[in-house]
Formats: sequence, structure tokens, C-alpha cells
Amino acid sequence: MKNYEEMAESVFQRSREIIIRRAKKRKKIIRVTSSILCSCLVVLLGVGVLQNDMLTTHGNTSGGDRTENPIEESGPVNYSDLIGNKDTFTNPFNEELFSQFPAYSADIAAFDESLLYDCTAILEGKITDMYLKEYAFTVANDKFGEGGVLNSGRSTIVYELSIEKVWYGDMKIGQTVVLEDQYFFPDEIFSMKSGKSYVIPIYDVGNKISTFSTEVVSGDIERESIFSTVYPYHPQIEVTDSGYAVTTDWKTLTAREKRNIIMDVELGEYASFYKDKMVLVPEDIFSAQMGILIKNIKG
Amino acid sequence: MDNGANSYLRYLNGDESGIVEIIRDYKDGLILFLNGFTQNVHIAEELAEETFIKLVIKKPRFWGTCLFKTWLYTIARNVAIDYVRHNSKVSYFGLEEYPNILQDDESLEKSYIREERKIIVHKALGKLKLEYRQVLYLTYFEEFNNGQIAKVMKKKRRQIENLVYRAKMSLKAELNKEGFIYEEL
Repeated sequence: MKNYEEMAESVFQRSREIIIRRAKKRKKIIRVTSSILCSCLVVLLGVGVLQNDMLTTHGNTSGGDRTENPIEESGPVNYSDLIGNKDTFTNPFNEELFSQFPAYSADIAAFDESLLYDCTAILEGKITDMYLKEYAFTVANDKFGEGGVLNSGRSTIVYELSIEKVWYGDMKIGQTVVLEDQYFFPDEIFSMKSGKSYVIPIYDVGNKISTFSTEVVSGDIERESIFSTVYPYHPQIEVTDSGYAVTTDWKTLTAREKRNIIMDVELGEYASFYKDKMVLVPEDIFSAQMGILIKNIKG
Repeated sequence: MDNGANSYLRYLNGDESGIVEIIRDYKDGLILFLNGFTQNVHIAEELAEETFIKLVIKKPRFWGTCLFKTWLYTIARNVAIDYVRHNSKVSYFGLEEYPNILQDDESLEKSYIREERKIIVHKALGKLKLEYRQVLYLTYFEEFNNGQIAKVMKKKRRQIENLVYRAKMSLKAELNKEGFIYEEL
């Protein structure tokens, strides 16, 4: 084992190596991004010149009715450009939530679209409110003698979703549905936030919270809502002005035209897995692919 | 301001000896704490090093809302959880390495814990559940109070009280099996 001086030396040495490695990586990214941007610029200039020529030839001087969009229409797109003001990425409530919500470590099955077989609805809407709910109860446990009980507790996050579109299911636009999740994607950027819109597959989990115990002796375990997010362990599909920000594990939704999203914001360690797995799917393509997905899953 | 916080502040102001002091003062306890997660003192040492590297590279701000030691152990726990999450299905060491691990484990116990009866308790901790190991290690060997443990383990104080109670029961049973009675439990 190292003594403290050896460890300190190793810490400084490894830190220096990491810093150098990061600087190199940053340089490489800047180099690649600049070349891509240069190429894009050349292509755009070319297209511009060509269009201008064509317009002049045909005597049409009108600029059309294209709405002004600050985001380029092809190539990769920055997450910060998509979502808008960086201050809205995180909110004070989430910080509080992170500190209160207990961390669980477990092996989680990777997301697969077949998980939608059990879903009750796929809803698009805005989160109008979210809060933490605490449950305290006792469960039977004879570890310390017959008839013994153990105190136990669970935390859930409750979301209120105002429905703006029903992709699948019997719910109505304008209705508010309450979702209650016992698990939570632990990242300030990707976790669902009040005021933002998402496409969320939900399913019916019954009216009791999961206690991992067969016999609850006392306490309230009645859920606020029977609905829960189908897969809370990855970023939910986020609705933006330019399309849908989708993780690539949605194989059908991301099978056609899409643009890579550059995550130009700092992600937590868990979320960094999704750093290069986010794409922007245009609204019409998303709509078509969602139709195919629902047909495949629900017949 | 406690010593660790003082050293860290000096480091943030450009004095590298601040980190060296932190490594000197907290390394051994941190390795034993992390060993509770890894059950391999060499990996625990790696993770302790990783924790110090985080301080050196990221220079996170210490706000002084808790003891520096509590804050440091919270960072170390995150490092350990991350490690366990990524390596849960991997075998960490070969059999030929096992005697070295045992030897280093024992010498660290001797130098850091010192008292023979506490060393026996520490050995018995290895047979308990991870949460029990963590909570008892922080209680008995680092003398953290429940509030500090709650901060490190990201739980509520009430949950920690329950956990400590159940962990003590489990430890007692483990020590009884070996014919050892520890009055402080």
C-alpha cells in the first residue's frame, strides 16, 4: 500500500494526465466542429448562391413565408440551442429533490420498445407541477422474534401532466393526468422539470406503492396515482420547437431522418451515458414513426 | 473551520500542500470506509485516490454547511457507488493476489484502528450487508453522529437511526457466532 506521500504524488500525476487528456480531447472536438462548420458554411453559401440564381432566373423575388429559426436545418444541433435559456436546464426544486430522494444502486434492464406492450397510454404534455411524496409504514418481519415489525419508508415523485396530445390511449386533450414514480432519472439536465413538455409512455401500476414486502402491517401506502412512467431510467422524450429530442434506444422513432444532438452542457456521471445518444427527430417523421411503433406494439 | 477545511481552502488558493495534508489525514479512514463497498483494500485505495483526484481536478466548492470530513466521505461514497455500478459483475482480483490483499487489509486495520477489540469488530463488519457495514463503520470507527451519516448516505436521520439499530443487531449476532461479546453494542 502507498504511504500518504506516494499517494499524493500519484494523485497529482494522474490529475495532470487527466487534464492533459481533456485538453487534447477539447482541441480535437474544436478542430472537428470547426471543419464541420466550415463545410456547412461552404454548402450553405453554395445553396444560397444557387437559390439566388434560380430566383433571379425565374423572376421571383419573394422571400417566401419561412418563419425565422435560429437553429440550422441540417447537421448536428446543440442541446442548449434547442432547449433555450441555459438557466432553465436546472431549477432549485430539482436540487432539493436530488438531496432528498434516496439513491438506489441496482442493475437495470436496458430500455427496449417492447416495454410498451404494458403501457396504458402515450401522452404528450406539459408538466404543470411536481413534488416529492413520502410514505411511512411498517412491515412484518420475524427476524427479531415472532410478530416483529420493521419501520420502512418510500419516496415518490408526483408529476401533474397537462395533456396536449394523445399518441395512444383513451385520455383526452386538456385533461390533467397525475403520474407517480418511485424511481427517478438522477440528472439535473435530463430529469423532468415543471414547465417543460415531454412525450411519456405511462402504465397502470395499481393503487399501492411497491414495498418489497409481502405484509404491510400499518401506515399509508395508497398511491396518489395509479399511473407511472413506463421507463423512468432514461431521459424522457423532450418536446422542442424544432422537433423531438429522443434517446437512440427508441429504435423505431430514430430509424429515419434525424440530427445528432451535441450535449454542450455539463451532464452528471450517470447521465453522461446518454451524451452521444440523443437525436432530434423532426415533427413529421416523429409522427409517422410513432404511428408505426404503436401499430407494431399494440397491433 | 476544521483542519481539513482549512487545508482545502489553502489548496483552492494555490497551495498544493493543502491537498497533501488532506491525503495524510484522511487517506486511511477513507480506504477502510471504501473497503466496505469493494471488499478489496487495493481497489478501495484506488477509489480513495480517485476521490482526491476529484478534489484536485474539479475543485468543488466546500460551503462549510457540514464538517469537511462528512463532505469528503460523501464524495467518496459517490465514487464508490459509481465504481460498484460499473463493475458489479466483474471479478476484481485473481487468487494469487488474495494473500497480499489480506496482509494490506490487516496492516491498515492495525495502524488506523489500533485497538484489538475494535479490529475484531471491523473484521465482523465484512460479513454484514453493505448498508450495515457503512453505517457501523461511520458510527464506531469515524465517530460520525446520525446527522452526519445521513448526509454521507443521502438518507434521512430517522432512516439512519433504524439502520443503525438493525445493523447493531446483525453485528451482535455475527460476533456471538464467534463467541465474542462486545458490551458497547
